[in-house]
Amino acid sequence: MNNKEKYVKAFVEALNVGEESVEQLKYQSVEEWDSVGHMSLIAALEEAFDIMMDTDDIIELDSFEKGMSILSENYEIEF
Amino acid sequence: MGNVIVTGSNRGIGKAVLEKFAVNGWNIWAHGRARNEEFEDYISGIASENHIWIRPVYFELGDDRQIKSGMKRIFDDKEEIHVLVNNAGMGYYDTFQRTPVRKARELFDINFFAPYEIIQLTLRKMVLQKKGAVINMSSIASLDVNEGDCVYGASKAALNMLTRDLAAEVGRFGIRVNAVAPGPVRTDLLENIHLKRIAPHVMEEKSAMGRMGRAEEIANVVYFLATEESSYINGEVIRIDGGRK
Ligand SMILES: NC(=O)c1ccc[n+]([C@@H]2O[C@H](COP(=O)([O-])OP(=O)(O)OC[C@H]3O[C@@H](n4cnc5c(N)ncnc54)[C@H](OP(=O)(O)O)[C@@H]3O)[C@@H](O)[C@H]2O)c1
Repeated sequence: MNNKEKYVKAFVEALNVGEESVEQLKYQSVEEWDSVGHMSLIAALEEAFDIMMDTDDIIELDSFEKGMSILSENYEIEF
Repeated sequence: MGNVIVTGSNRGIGKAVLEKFAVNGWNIWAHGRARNEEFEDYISGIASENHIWIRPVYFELGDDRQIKSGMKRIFDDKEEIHVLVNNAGMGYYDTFQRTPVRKARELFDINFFAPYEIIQLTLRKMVLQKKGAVINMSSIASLDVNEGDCVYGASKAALNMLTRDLAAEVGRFGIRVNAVAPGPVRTDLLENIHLKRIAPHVMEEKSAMGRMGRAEEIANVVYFLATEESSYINGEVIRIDGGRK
């Protein structure tokens, strides 16, 4: 599985959403990505990429797209 | 039985907590401030006696980066974390007017912000597991009024509120968060801070049972809160003080 696939999988599993809809997702744009879903998502991303995210990054991660730029800029994960 | 992190497990109440989990067959990440060979010999002894693993983890609670790297070492073991016992803490006693803000910040760093950070990191694992228990070591100084306990009491009271509110947030993940609030227990902390200024009998007389608590008596309640025996207790701060009078 490449990094993009892992990333998508974390969203799908943590938020319980379909793979086809993940790319458009924004924090609180769907019921599943509320503050509780956010905790599951962060946990899933940390597990998938074996990282420990800073709280500032956790707060800033507010969309599918933004998450990819945070992971690549601050955690050296290439997509 | 499962895997537990115990902070400040090299002496005092934390050591009694470590022993309680060990004899009940739990695996333990045993936290201490700095590497200590005597402690490592001790834990390897009780680990083999009880057929469990006990892994020492060292970090200074006042140092954010040390906390993070210490916790990362725990996570690198790739084991489930079922229970976190935030026991480590520092005592302090002096009047408000004699306590500089710098000292108050130090107390809050050790007694509040360090457990705060450790919980925040551990929860990310527990959320994925959809189960877990966090037990924070508070004190009756957070609940009762005592001259000289302003800052220590406030730091533990902050921990109480964190305990109660956090329980409301993470209950849906099957994670329980509770605290215990011991009365005086004869450890180094008590000797160095309180028994230098007042005689033991003064403390004993305040207890309905006429004595101080034993570290094992605190450990027993911590252990209870860690197990399924307490599966519907959440967001509580439980006094363990033999009753006050
Ligand atoms: N004893 C009582 O009467 C009483 C009553 C109510 C609540 N409590 C609470 O119970 C907990 C344990 O107290 P205790 O009486 O067992 O105290 P203790 O004998 O002084 O032990 C404190 C433990 O915390 C660790 N610790 C303290 N500051 C640290 C730091 N900055 N970084 C890393 N580790 C640190 C110590 O490590 P080192 O060995 O390296 O110093 C030690 O393992 C504390 O949270 C205390 O506030 C105690």
